[in-house]
Amino acid sequence: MQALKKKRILKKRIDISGIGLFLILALIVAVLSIITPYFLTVRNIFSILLSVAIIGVGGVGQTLVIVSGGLDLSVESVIACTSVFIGLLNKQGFPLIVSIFAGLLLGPFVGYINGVLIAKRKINAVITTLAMMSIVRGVGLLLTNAKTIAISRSDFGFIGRGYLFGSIPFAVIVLIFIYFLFYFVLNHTPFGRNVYAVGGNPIATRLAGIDVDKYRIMIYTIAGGLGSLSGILFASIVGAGLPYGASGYALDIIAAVILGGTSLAGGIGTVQGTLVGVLILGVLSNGLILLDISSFWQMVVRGIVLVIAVEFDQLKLTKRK
Amino acid sequence: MVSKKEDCVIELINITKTFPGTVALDRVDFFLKKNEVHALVGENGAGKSTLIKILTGYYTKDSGEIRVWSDPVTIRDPHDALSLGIAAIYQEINLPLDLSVAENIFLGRLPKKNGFIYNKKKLVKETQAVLQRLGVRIDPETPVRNLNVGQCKLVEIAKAITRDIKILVMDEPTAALPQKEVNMLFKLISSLKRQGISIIYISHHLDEIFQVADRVTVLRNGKNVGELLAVEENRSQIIKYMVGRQIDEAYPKNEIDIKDELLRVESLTKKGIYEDISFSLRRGEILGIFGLIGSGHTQLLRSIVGDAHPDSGKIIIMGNVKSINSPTVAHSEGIGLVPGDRKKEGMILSLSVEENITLGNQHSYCKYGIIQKKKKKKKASRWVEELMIKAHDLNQKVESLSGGNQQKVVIARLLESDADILLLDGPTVGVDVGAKTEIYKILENLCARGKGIILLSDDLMEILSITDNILVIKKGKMVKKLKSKSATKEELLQSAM
Repeated sequence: MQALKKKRILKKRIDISGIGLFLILALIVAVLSIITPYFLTVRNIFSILLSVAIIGVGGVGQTLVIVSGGLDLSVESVIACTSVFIGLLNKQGFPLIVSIFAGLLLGPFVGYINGVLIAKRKINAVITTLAMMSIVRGVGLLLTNAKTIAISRSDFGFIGRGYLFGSIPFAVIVLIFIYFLFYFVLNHTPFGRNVYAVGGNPIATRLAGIDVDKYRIMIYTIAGGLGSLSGILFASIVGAGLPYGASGYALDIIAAVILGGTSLAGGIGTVQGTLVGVLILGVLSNGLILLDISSFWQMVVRGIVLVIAVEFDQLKLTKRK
Repeated sequence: MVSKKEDCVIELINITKTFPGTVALDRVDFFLKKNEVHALVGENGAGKSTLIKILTGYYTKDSGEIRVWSDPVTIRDPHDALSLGIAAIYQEINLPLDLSVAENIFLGRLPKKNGFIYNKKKLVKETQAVLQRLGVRIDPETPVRNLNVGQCKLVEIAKAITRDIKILVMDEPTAALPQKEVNMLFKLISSLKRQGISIIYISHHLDEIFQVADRVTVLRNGKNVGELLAVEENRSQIIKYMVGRQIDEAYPKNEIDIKDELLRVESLTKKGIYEDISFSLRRGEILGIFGLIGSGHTQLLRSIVGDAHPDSGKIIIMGNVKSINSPTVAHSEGIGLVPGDRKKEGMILSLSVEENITLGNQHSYCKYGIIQKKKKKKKASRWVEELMIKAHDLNQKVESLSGGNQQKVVIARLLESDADILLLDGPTVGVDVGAKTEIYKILENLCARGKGIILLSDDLMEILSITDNILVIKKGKMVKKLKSKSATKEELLQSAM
C-alpha cells in the first residue's frame, strides 16, 4: 500500500515536469559536453544562466499571459523603453533608486492598458499588444532622439554583471527567485489557480463568479512588471539605455514559453516548463558559440528546435484524445 | 405487426450499445422500408439518438447487425455512412455561416473548370436546379448567415440530396421552426418520399408524426417496445408504449416543507426577449420554468445570474432589492447557475475534478493568502462522495468523465459555493438514465436543506414530476402558473405552444 502510494506520487511528479522536454534538454547537454569539455563547467553553466536571464524573466510574464489565453508582443519594447527611462533619469542626476523605480513603473502601466483594451474593449490580444509594441518603441525613440544613453555606474552594473560569493551572477539569483516566486503563486494562491481557469474556459469561469476581466487586467499588468524587470537587467548588462534594443526578444520569449509546453490555446502551462524552454534555447546558442559556429546558424537551429518541440506536444495531445 | 424484411432499405437487428454505467440500447430491432417516413419516438434518454448515431457512424455498436438493401455492412465512421447513402440532419445548424447557400450545398465538391478553377456559374446553376427540385426559393448566392432557421434546414436537406442520399435521418427538424415553415418542410418531405428517399423522422410531437409519417417505432429505456402505423387511432397506444406503465413512480419528489421566500422577481423585462415576469421562489421549493426554444426562458435565467441585464423590474433576495450586474455579484449573493451547455459554459475541461469543484471559491481555503491544499482537497472529496461522482481520483480531468458525472461536478461547485438559489438549465440533458435519477435525488436533498431551485427543462415528465410549481413562458410572456401535482403534459404543452 505504502509502495503503491509512493509510486503514484512519483508518477505525478514526472507528469508535471514534462518529461519529453527535459529529455531534449538532457540530450543537448549530453551531446555538447561530449564534444566540448569546457561546456559542463560551473563557470560555463553560470554564464549560460546569465545569458538567459533577460529572456527568462520576461518568459515568466509571458507564461501567465499565454496560460490565461492571451499573448503579449509589447514586452520587447517595454524592455528597451525601461532601459531608456533609467538612462535618461540617471543622466538628469536622479538617485539610482528613483531611476530604477521609474523604470519599474513603465511595464505595469503599459500592461494595464493592454489588459483594459483586451478585457474591457475586447480588442484582439495580438493587435492590442502589437500596437502597444509600436507605441512604446516610438516613445523610447522620441525621448532619446534614437541615441544610446550610457549608464556608467558600477552600482547599477552590479545588477546584471556583478557576482555574489565570487562566482554566482546576481542576475541569476534574480532569475531563480522569480521562478520560485511564480511557481508558488501559480500553484498555491487563488490568483494562480484562477489564471488557469480563465485560460481554460473564460465563459465557465465568469459564470462561476470569477471576475475574468479583472484577472486579465491583473495578468497583463504583472507581465508588464516582469517586462520592466527584464529591462533593468538588460540596461545593467549592456550598461546603457538602448532605444533600439531588445528587438526580436518577444519572439524569443514566446518561443521559449511554447517550447516549455504552454499551450497557445490557454489553460495549460507551467513556469518550470518555461524555464526548461529558456534553457534549451540558451544551451543551444552557448554550445554553438563554443563550437565556433556562425551565429546565423543559431537562428536556423532555434527555429528547428521550436518546430520539433511543438510537434512533440501535438503528438501528446492527439494521443490523449 | 413487425414488417417483412423483403422491402427493407435498412435493417438494424439486435443492436446493443452500452456506455459506462448504462445500457443505452438493449437488443433493438429497427426496420426502414423503401419510400417510407418512419418516425422514431420515445422520451428523452430512450435511446433514439444513440440508435441514429450508430446508423450514421458517430458511435459504433457493441453487437448486432446492420443491413442495407439486405447486405450486411459495417459502419465505422460518418464517411462510411455517407458512402452507403445515409445522411442526417441534426437539431443544431452546422453550416459555415459566411459561405453562400450554393457553396454550402456543394462544400468539398465545388464544380471546377479546366480541372482546377472554381466554376461559379456552374455552381449557381446546379444549386438552382437542386433548390427547384425541392420547391424552395432561396438565392443561391446569399450567405447562409442571412437565412432563417427554416431555410438553413432546407440548405442541409439540399446538401444531403445532392450527395445522392437514399436514407435521410431528421432529428427534431421542426424544433424552432415557425408554423409556416413547418408546413413547407412537410411538403418537402412528401416530395422526397416520391423521389425514392426513405426518411427516419425523430420527433416529440405526435401531431406532426401523424401528418408526415407512415409508421412509428417506440423506444423506451433502450428497448424497442413497439411498431405501429402512424395514424391518429394509435395515439393512446403510442403514448402508453412511450411512458410505460406508471408515470408517477419514475421520479417521485417527497413532500418537503416550503418555507420563507428566498427570491422574488417583480415585472422583470428585457425588451424583445421577455416581458413583465414576476414570480417568487421559497426555501425547499423547486420551481420549473417551461417554454419552447426561443421563448426567452434561458435569457431570463441568465438575467437572474447577472450575465444579461434586464431593462426594468426588480430582483429581490431575502427581502432586499439587489442589482445583480455580473455573475461575480450573483455568486456573492448566493446565486449559482448550472448552465445549459455543460462543456462550453459549465466547466473547464483542461482542469481536474478538484479544481472544477473549487472554482470560484479558492479564497475560502486560504490562510495568509496561501491555499491550504489539504483543506481544499477535503472539501472537494466530500462532494465527490456525497454526490457519488464516479472519478478514479480528484486529479482526474473532467473531460474524461461521463456526462452525468460532469454535471454532478458542476452541481458540486454550486454546493461548495454555498449558494442558496440554484438555477439549473437543463441539468439532465445528455445524461444517462441512472445518473438522471441520482441528480433528481440530489435536488430533492438540497430542497430538504432549505435551498431554492429553479429548473429549466424541455422534458415534460421531468418538469412535472420533480418540481412543485411550474411557470410557462411563451414568446417572452408568462402565460400560466401551474401546480405541478395537478398539471398534465397536455396542459403544459398546450399553454406553451
